[in-house]
Amino acid sequence: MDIVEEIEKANKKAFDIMNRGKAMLKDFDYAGKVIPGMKENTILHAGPPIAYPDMIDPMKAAVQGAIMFEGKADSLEEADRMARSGDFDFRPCHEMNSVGPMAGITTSQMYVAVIENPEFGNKTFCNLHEGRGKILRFGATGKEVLDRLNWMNENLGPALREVVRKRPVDLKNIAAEGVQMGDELHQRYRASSLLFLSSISENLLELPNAREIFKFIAEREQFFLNLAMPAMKALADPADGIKYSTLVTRMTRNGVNFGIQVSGLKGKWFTGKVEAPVGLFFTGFSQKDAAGDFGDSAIMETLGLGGLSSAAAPSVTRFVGGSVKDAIHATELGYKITYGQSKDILIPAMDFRGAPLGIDILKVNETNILPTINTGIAHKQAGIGQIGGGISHPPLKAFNDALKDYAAVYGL
Amino acid sequence: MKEEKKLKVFNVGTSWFLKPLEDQGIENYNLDWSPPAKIDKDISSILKKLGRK
Repeated sequence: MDIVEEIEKANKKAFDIMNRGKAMLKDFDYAGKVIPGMKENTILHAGPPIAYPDMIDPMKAAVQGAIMFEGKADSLEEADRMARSGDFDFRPCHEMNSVGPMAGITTSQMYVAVIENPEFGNKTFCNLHEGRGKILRFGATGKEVLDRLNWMNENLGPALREVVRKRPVDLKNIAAEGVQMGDELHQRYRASSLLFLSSISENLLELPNAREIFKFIAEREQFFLNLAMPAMKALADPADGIKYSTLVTRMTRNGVNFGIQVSGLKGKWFTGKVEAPVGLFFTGFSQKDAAGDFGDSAIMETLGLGGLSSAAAPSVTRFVGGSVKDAIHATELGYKITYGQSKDILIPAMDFRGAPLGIDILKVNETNILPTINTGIAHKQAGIGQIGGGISHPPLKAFNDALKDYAAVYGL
Repeated sequence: MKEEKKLKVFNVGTSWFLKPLEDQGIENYNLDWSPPAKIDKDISSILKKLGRK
């Protein structure tokens, strides 16, 4: 078999694995208890590897807030000193079977969702959704932020654990239905968040604190974000490490670098500088305030959702500063750089064609078409939070470097 | 009286422009084309080895 045949065989295998998997929400528990290798001093962050001093301010602040949440420091200054001291082991979420939106900071005492792909037996994890405004994932660290995190740990996490242990939730099914109802699953999660709430309501309403839990979820239209992300990772991870495959299994950003990983080049990061997303800003903010793109949420585009499924959510196009025509065009471009289409997640506006699935570094390199990432825009200063929404793209350099490495590894 | 000719449209590039034609029942052909990407020499050489442009 020549290399062209080997690549086709490997890519078909990787694509089938991504397409065939399921993502069942099975449990909620402390990160330190359920994430393999997670220790008391482990701090997970979004994106490819980065040292604490090199992080952007919102991510640094989120680290400091998390150290305070863990009860290891009484002030941000003390937490900053500790973070610089080498006492903590900083790891990318992706390297610990996890994902986290925006800063992605996850520590051992935080509750996480536990997702299982029963087809392949792998598990993935993600912290809980805080909402919008002043929140840790955007680098806010005040009392209200820490109080909310404590409430989530004492109330939300345990309640959801009780509910999903009784009846696991099929997250891929909710994602597919959400796309039918106008979500593209990166910016817009209104339909899927309500579908999730509906799916757990029978058991949730039996709990004594059902009213406050129900209210917390119902008020957060992106609640499904922190469930959809590990669901997509659960589908992607088994497709990693397939010899000869040129399909992308991870795309993520840390505010400084955008990193991708490729199935046939297991474990290697290929990076380039992140863009600041371009889009629409809330009143009083502009492009000069925007932080570099960050978060593991590009796992949604890795699996063909978000920007690649823009055509599914015409209402998002106005929020990110485009037209319906642009949304359809972004999805059409997605088909040009992917191996095939999702069999389960269908886009009504594309005549129920499946979402573009299996980004191929060969196709990206020969067309120079980069996946469109739909994303929130964070303020570059810590603590201000989200200031808009827009789109960004990975750097072509990451795809160029991946192909050059592929050629070296496979003797081209 | 002038003979009415049936309109046939050949579209090059994005298929977005075809929708209004289709809606009006106009016969059309589409060539999915975009300007060739400017590709780095090393990348081009690798792609050629894989039978790609």
